[in-house]
Amino acid sequence: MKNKRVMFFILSLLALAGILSAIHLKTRDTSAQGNVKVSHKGENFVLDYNKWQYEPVSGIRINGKGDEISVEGNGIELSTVLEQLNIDHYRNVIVSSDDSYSAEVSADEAEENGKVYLMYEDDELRLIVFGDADSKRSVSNVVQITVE
Amino acid sequence: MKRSKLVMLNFMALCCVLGLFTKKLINPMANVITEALHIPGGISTGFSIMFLVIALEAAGMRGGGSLMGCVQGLLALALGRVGSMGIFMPIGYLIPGITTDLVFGLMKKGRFPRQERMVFANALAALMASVTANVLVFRLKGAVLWLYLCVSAASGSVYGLLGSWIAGRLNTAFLWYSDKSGGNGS
Repeated sequence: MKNKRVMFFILSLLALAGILSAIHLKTRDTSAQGNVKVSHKGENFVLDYNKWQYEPVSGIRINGKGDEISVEGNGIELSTVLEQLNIDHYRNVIVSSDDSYSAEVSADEAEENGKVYLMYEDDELRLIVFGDADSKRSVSNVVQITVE
Repeated sequence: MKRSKLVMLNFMALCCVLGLFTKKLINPMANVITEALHIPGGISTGFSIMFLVIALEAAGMRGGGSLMGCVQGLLALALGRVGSMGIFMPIGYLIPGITTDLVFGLMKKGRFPRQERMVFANALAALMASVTANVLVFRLKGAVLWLYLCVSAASGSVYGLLGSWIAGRLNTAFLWYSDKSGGNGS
């Protein structure tokens, strides 16, 4: 603790982290619990995903280790959600979680039958892309869907 | 091989394993902070890197950071502890290792105190680990990216301070050991 330069360095970083936290928490897009925001061509739709009609989904997804994980639960195809909003023409969809982690799904993938699902798990949405070789596109706590 | 060198290599191997497994121990605490800040991580990596920095400080081996990063990456791959980086996981371990080597190379012993070397090395290595994770996995942009990087560097610097305290205690033990038994060829 003797080195003042070190302490100044650490305290400066912590202070900067504090300032950036305040900026990020004030400016980030938030949606209320149970809602997901869909953005398309400047339009924003806030949807209550508790009211969606889910169907039983089962399949295999492959995690980062290459292990096969059985997925069973209730979900809805991403394309169905977009159809309900009359979104037909798009190139890709970016699905983001509450912690800003995001995954991109192409229009071809989204429209492929039985491939891209939003699973309803513990009052949260999770993006599952069946057939992926890793778990990078497994996004938990989905809060935003950006359609491009 | 000199016995003291063998002891150092063993210590480096131990630190590689410790770095790999202790990360899981602090993950619950780190998750509380990252969830509150709404960022995808960046806190526990610095703790893992701390063991590399301690080993590098104790061993003083040129290129030791890269070697340990490489070993950690291969171990992680072999044990399936690849996280969200998948097959690119070794890169995620190697880059912080190279960074610690560079910082230790630039901040030579004698010219900079141990605490400064370790804090800067740990902070920069944690920052580079986060940059790598962002390029390979997260792809964050804007304010959240800067926050993620800043939190990584800040936590890395705190772990560096902790590491320098641990290294101070270890240094005495290693000096004692090398005085008593170092130099015995085998």
